[in-house]
Amino acid sequence: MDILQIVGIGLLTAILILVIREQKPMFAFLLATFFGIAVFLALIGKIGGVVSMIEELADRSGIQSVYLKTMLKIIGIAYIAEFGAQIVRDAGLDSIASKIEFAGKMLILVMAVPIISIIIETVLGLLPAGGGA
Amino acid sequence: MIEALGGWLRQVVAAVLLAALIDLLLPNRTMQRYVRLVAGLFILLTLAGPLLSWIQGDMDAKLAAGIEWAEREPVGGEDRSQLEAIMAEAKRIGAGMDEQAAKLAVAGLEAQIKAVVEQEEDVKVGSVEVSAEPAADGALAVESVKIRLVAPEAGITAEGGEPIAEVEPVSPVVVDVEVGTGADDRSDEDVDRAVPAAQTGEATADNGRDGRIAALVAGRFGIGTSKIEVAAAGG
Repeated sequence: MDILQIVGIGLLTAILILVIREQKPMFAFLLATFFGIAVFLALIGKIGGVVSMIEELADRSGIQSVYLKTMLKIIGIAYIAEFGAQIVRDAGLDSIASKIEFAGKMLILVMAVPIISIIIETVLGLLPAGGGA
Repeated sequence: MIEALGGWLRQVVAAVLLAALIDLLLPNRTMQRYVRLVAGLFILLTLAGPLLSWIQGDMDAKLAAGIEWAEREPVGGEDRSQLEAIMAEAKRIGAGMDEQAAKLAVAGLEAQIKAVVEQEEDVKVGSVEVSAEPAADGALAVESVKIRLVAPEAGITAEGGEPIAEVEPVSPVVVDVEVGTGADDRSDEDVDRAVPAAQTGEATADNGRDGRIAALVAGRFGIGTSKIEVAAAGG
């Protein structure tokens, strides 16, 4: 049922935006933003269910909670960056949208820095000191 | 051994499942390469977990600390402003505590002065007001002490403000009745000495008590007598 409601509201918003865009492009942009936020808020409960399921899976398999937290943060960063970039792209500012995406990518990569450093440290620790022989 | 191997295998399977799920959840292909890199690193870390723990000891704590650092690093400016906010908060709390300490010190000093004066001079002290201001070096300096006595008898007027030196007890009047040469001169001398003492004796009774109290407080607490004011109630 939820998907029917969301699709219905989406269609309605699309028609409204098409009508308004000719006269007031600003309001069309605002309408698109509000629709995005409303859909996100409507689905927060479902997202919580998915997250708790993943947490349970991680708990049962004995995987470290740091991994799970980092993964969830990565998903969050990806979604928020994508959401913001699409809104800005709808407003016709592709350059700003690409900057937002760039920021998202960088933040995701920063998450990998500690893992990379631990792996490199371990590999260097395995090598014999001096390494000349 | 088999137990540890089973746990490790379970962890690997869970990490791969998690990575697949995250790949599925991604919004679009823009971020896919980056997320795959991080997920792959996590899988690698899980695979090499026993080896890493054997070599590096507390790898988990190090990883957690590293991720904590990675989350804070992109917002270094915010860290600085947070530090400033914390410092300001500390200063505010410190000032509040200083004020509270000053209040406590003043209250303690008042109570001590009251107790000492009542004990030593056998008078009833109505109230003691100590006003203290922080000096340049941050220490408290006593500005003034007002001691208000409860009058045991009527007619005592306030003698405030002026420092009064401690009055020496009246010296006994020696009347020399020995008849000899120069007896007249000597009796005149004695009378001259006795008369002023007799005249001022009653008038300075209150002054003397106030002066004694001021000197007592000054001596005990190291406060200048000019800062001590003793007044009778109603004065």
